[in-house]
Amino acid sequence: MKRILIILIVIMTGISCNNEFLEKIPTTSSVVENFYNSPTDAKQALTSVYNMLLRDDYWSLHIYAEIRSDLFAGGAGTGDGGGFQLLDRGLQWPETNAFQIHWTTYWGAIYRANTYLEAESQIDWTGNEKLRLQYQAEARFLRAYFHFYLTRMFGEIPALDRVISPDEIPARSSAEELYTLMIEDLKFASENALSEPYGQMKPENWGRATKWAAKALLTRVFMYYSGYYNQSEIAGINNSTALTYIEDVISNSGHNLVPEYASLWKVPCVSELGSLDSYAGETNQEVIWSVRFNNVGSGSYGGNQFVRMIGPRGTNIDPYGQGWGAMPVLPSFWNDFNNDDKRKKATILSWDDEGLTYNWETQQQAQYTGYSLKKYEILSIDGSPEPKPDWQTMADEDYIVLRYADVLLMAAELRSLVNGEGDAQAVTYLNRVRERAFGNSNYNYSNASINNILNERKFELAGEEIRYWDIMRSCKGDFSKLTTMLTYVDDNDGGDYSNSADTQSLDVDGSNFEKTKGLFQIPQNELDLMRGVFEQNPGYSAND
Amino acid sequence: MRIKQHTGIRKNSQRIFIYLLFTLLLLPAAYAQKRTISGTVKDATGETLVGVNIVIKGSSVGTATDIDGNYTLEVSNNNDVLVANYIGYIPSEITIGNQTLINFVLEKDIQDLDEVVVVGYGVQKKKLVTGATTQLKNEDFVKNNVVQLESAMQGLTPGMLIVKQSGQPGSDFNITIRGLSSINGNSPLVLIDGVPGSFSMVNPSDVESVDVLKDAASAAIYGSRAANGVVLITTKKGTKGEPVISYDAYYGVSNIYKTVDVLNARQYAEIMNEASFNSKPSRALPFTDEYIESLGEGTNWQQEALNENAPSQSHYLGINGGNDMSTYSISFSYASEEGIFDYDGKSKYQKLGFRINSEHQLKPYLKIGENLTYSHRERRAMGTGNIYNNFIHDLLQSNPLFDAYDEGSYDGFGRSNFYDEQINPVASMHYNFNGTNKTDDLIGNVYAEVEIAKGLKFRSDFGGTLNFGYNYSHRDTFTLTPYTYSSIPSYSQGMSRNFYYNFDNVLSYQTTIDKHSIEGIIGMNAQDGRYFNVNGSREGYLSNVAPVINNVTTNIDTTYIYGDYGEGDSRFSYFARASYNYNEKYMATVSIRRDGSSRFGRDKRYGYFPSASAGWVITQEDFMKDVAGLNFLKIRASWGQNGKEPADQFVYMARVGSENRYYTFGGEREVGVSPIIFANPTLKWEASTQANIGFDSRFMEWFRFTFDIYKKESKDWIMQTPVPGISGIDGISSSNPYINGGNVVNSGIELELGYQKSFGEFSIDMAANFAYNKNMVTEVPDSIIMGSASVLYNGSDEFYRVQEGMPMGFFWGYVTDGIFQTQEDIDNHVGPDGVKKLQATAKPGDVKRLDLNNDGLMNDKDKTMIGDPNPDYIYGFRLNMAYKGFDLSMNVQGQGGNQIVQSYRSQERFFNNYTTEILDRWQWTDANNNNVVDAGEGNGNRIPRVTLNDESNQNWRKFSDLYIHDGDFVKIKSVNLGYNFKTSVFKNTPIKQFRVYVAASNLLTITKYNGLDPEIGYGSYYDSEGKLRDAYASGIDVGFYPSPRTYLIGVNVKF
Repeated sequence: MKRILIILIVIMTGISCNNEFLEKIPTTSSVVENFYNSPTDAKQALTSVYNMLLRDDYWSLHIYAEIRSDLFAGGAGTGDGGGFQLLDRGLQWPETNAFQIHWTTYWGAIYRANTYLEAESQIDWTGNEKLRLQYQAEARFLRAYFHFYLTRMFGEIPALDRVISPDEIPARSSAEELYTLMIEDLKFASENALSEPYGQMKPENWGRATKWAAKALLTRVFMYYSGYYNQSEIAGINNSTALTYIEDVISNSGHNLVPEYASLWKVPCVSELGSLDSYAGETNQEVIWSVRFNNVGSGSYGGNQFVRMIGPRGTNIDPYGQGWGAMPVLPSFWNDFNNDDKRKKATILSWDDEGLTYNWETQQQAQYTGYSLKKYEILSIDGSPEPKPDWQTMADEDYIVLRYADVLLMAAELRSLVNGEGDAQAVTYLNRVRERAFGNSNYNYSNASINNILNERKFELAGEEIRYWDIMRSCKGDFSKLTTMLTYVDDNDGGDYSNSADTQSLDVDGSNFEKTKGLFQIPQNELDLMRGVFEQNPGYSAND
Repeated sequence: MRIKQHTGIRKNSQRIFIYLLFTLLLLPAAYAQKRTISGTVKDATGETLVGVNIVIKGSSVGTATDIDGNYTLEVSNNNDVLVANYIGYIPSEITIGNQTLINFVLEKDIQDLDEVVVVGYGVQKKKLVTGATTQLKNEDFVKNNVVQLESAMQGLTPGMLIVKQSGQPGSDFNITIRGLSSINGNSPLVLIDGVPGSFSMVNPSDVESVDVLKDAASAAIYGSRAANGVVLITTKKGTKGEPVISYDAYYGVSNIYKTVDVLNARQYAEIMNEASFNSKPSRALPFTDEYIESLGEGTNWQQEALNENAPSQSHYLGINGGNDMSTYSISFSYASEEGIFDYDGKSKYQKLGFRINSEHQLKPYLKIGENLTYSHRERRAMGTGNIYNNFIHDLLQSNPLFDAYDEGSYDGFGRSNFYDEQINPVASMHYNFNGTNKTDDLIGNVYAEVEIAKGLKFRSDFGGTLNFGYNYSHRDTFTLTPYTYSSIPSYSQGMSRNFYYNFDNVLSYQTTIDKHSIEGIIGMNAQDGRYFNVNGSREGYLSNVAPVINNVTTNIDTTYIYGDYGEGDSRFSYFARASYNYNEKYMATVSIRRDGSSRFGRDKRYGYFPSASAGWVITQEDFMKDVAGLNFLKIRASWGQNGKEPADQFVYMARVGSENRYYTFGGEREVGVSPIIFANPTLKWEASTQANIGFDSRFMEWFRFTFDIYKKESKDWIMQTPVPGISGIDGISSSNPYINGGNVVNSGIELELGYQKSFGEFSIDMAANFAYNKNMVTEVPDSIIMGSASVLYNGSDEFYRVQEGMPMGFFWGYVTDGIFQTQEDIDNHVGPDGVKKLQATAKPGDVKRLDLNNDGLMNDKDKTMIGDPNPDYIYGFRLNMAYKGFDLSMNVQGQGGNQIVQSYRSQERFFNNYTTEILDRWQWTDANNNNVVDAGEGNGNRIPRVTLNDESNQNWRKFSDLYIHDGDFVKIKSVNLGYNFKTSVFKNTPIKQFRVYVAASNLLTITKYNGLDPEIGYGSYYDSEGKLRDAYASGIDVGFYPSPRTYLIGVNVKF
């Protein structure tokens, strides 16, 4: 008996391999401490930062910023709650957390960039020192890009160059600190990123932030800072030094304008040039940097989902594919366009002028102006939207962030600022864009006044998330100008276009753009989570 | 049919077997010459007793008394002792000697306290139990005639709330014992014959007893998984004696007992016109008067989807028997149910299973045995639950202007020509919901028990669950609307395997010295699990041959495969318990468990869970002897601590992953990797502490009364806390980091009153239970946990929360104060300054909201608790009556004090239909009928005017008490009327018992709630990753598949 008892006790205690028994690691994911080892790991970690670019959805800032501009109405569906219309008028979205997704997504992107920059030191780079610098450059480019996105929307956000813990709440940084971080990141990228000119770049690197993209973005960031904050210099960059960056892109990047404006996007290409055969493709010479939407196989965050918002609601008339009716073009913009300007019909679909009918009331489109945006509209083939099977999630057209025409116009503007509006080179840059648009030199400008340049930017870059920020920076810190530039006046535009009811017929609060300095409302949820450390942007009450 | 009058029918052979199991001693019998003895068994009043078990003590030889109370038995040894056993009576023993006629007179055991109940790792006499436990026996629930055990148990256990997640056959249940104690799921730990499992693995007919351990002290022996209570399911075991074969079957038909009144075609068109006019007076109305005149009732979508007389059936074959060495219990069962809403057999549940339990006494000191249950479940179900995948929701709000079927359309289904986005809900049922889920479950264990010395036993028990799931589904092409379509068919298949083992080793010792009785156990438990699954889908054209992935032809490769496996979900524990009683008068128990779990980081991996309890049988005291009418009174008190672990593995650990992290460079999609979680190595168990005081009593011989009062404090919930977006959380995961936090107190009382008596040929047994619980959250990190948005309709605000000082999942919204009748009302609704209008943009007919904090602003700060989904009290009533051959049983279940949020209509779609409640809307009446809406006085003071849901006052878009309804109800859950044929009818057949019955479930529901069913098990939901979200939410009716009313007939036969 005793022996049995002993055996039993041994069994009971002997099974207790205990600590080892309970030390379990996952089979399907790695653990942070031991993941970052080789350059391959680095490449994967960096890829995850790029991945954040793909999050754009129906809420894309691309759409929101354009709706706020003077070129587009709100649109969308009658069931969408009227937020788009209110946004158009500079008013508060009915839901106080409407912009939370912008806030969280792009802070998430900054987190991934910082995670990369902190973890990359664990990696053995022996023999790959140049690659290390290139990857660092790309991560810093993206960090700057995402900061720039957030600060234009929300103002003086914290400049984060490190991973913070979930309970740390950083304070707002000054504009100077914030822009210094962005400019320094972009300077580093300008020196260390891939530097082959267009045409010599390895195809597998298409989509990576290059030296040229960094220089163009640096110029854009500087110009926004100097305009919006009315400052002449930041982190050693002023108009003159910025000019050297942007002119380097003009001269040495190998990028150039494509001959036909309409060939840059699929739908304008079909409607204006006759068929998709003329499409310049996503990797054409004019594209300096774009977000590479792609939808190989299933899975979310692959397709370009904001394009589905733009088309006419519920109607496919080849080549105009359906969307959810957001961002209808204001008639004033159509009227402002010179009829000889080939960009007019490449940019805007005028239903009447093209002899098409669109029954917006039965389709429950909240606003209808008679005009839709063609650029980025999804394609319709045989009366059904492309791509199939799911036009809503599988659109894979790249979203162009930086293109050569913009570079030329930025250079023209800086030259004009440095040397005056008569600067011959500035006029040349400006007219290169203009001549392509008209197909001849009949409409060439004789001087490169800031006004001429901004006007040209409006027509050239409409619907590309440029216009609203151009207006913001052109105020030079005097936000009362926004009131006249952005206020939506029904009468001037020929009616309120509304399909129904109260929310679409709201009184226009013209002073709101001034009060908010053009910024967006910080989501109330986030302010609550930051326990009052962070203040709401001016002009927005947390109430109602 | 000849039915002779007879007396004293109190037969229930199942009770006998249960009793036998625990009372037979395991001694070898000796045999000699055989002779026959006979006799009669009567009770103290002289009435004969039917079905009394007569056995030779220490053997398996025995018989039972017949309908007249007589028995005959062959015996061979004069020294043998005959034992007469009958449930509810004190067993009687008579030594045979040389008698040939032995009559027994059995004394009623008013206590029934010598019965044993199952406690963790053992059994205990009921009268010695010091915790709060409830035992249900097979006969308590089997007459409910349902396929699922949880359903059978509804309303029977005080303090245990069981609510079906959907009335669709085969759906799961939400089970809460003593209130919500965690935001992280509240299901109790379920053990089947000691092996962790789930209710769905067993058939109700196979269950001998269910013991619910409600207080912490009873459950503490299960430590880290017991915070929500423990349910111990014991399956039927074999008994010594002649084999008994039983066959039970029923067949029934189910129907809906209530539909919701929605607008008919004419009402609908009128309301749409009115809404359109109110929103945009200048616009042409959608319907002309002539058209409205021409309309009739239109389509009643609920009727279109009904499956009238949905059949259900069940068959159960059980065999019990055994001899001195071995006993066995075998069963086979099959059941099927169809849903009351159906399209082409898409709502159906089938279950098939068998069970083999056996036990062998190999040596006097060595016993081995095994339990094994297999079940196969097959379920086809249509979407219920959230608004996006809920066909009931579609049925309730589809407009009545078009037919379900239209021969002219390409697919035979009607299409709305009034509104493009309107789907045909019947067509949607056809095209969607083509999935079938099948499950094979094996649960079982093998064990050996050695008696090392007298009273000292060692038991080793190895068991586990093995689960295979497989599913397949297809989606054809369809165009329901221009927005809801599928342009390419697809097919998917998946399979999973889950295995958990459970290894228990327990050393127990029991001894009695004089009047001191001591019992102790010490043991260890190890568990480990692994899973494997693979799912694939492919888009393309389906072969007609067999729709499997291989037969899908595609132009481009659309194959999607996902596979995963994991292992090592491990727990390792020691536990010990000591019980002491003095003369069954004073008793005390202490226990402790030390748990280790792989779900925590190294420093938080171990936890201790102690308990203590004591009892005092006052009626054993001399000074209580004279208290008339009080037969038994035991006072007991207990205290204990339990834990609850995270729902998933590895939540504490810093991991990186690649899901949704790719990017395309050139033409190649490249893998991206980054952290997927904010690690928290300090994560620890949720801790629940509970104190319980109660008493058990028997009085006036026939009554029993049990009372409990408890307070349960559950803190350190393992919760995901929202962190500021600035931390980068969105770049990590869509789910927030895990922390410990929060505290909720549940306090309440439970009582159960029973009465059992015979009056000549009539016997009655009834029990009523009642439980009151108060749920109060006392601490929440950052003071609020916000519920999900878009629950009621796309874009709806969050409206349930967890907040300090409030019950869990309370409804949070505006308090309304009727309807603005005039512009003057609006102008007079001002803030404290007497000037600023609170709802300046409102129009007459809009809802008036109260500025509760009186700050002159109408905003979230004015929202408050406007409803509580948790019932204040739940109750049940059970009745069993028998008269001559007839028996009647009934179960009633009810609850009160809870509210329901009802939202059948997606507010963003103004063309959706309304329930007829909208006919009471505010409607301006004008003598001149000049269609001016901005002036005048209206009528109706609860439902606001109709608009295209775009009024700036946002009458329905701002969540308010407009959505709140009281949810009190009482249901007659089941009624069962049976007749037992006299055995003499079957004299020359092997039939020993033959009972036929008719039964009904959900016969009657009494409620003021106007929805489909007040018993709503929706609130928490599973997200796209299959994780339980908002586990604390309940009482949300967005179109709830109601429980059916079923009528059935059945037989119980014993051979």
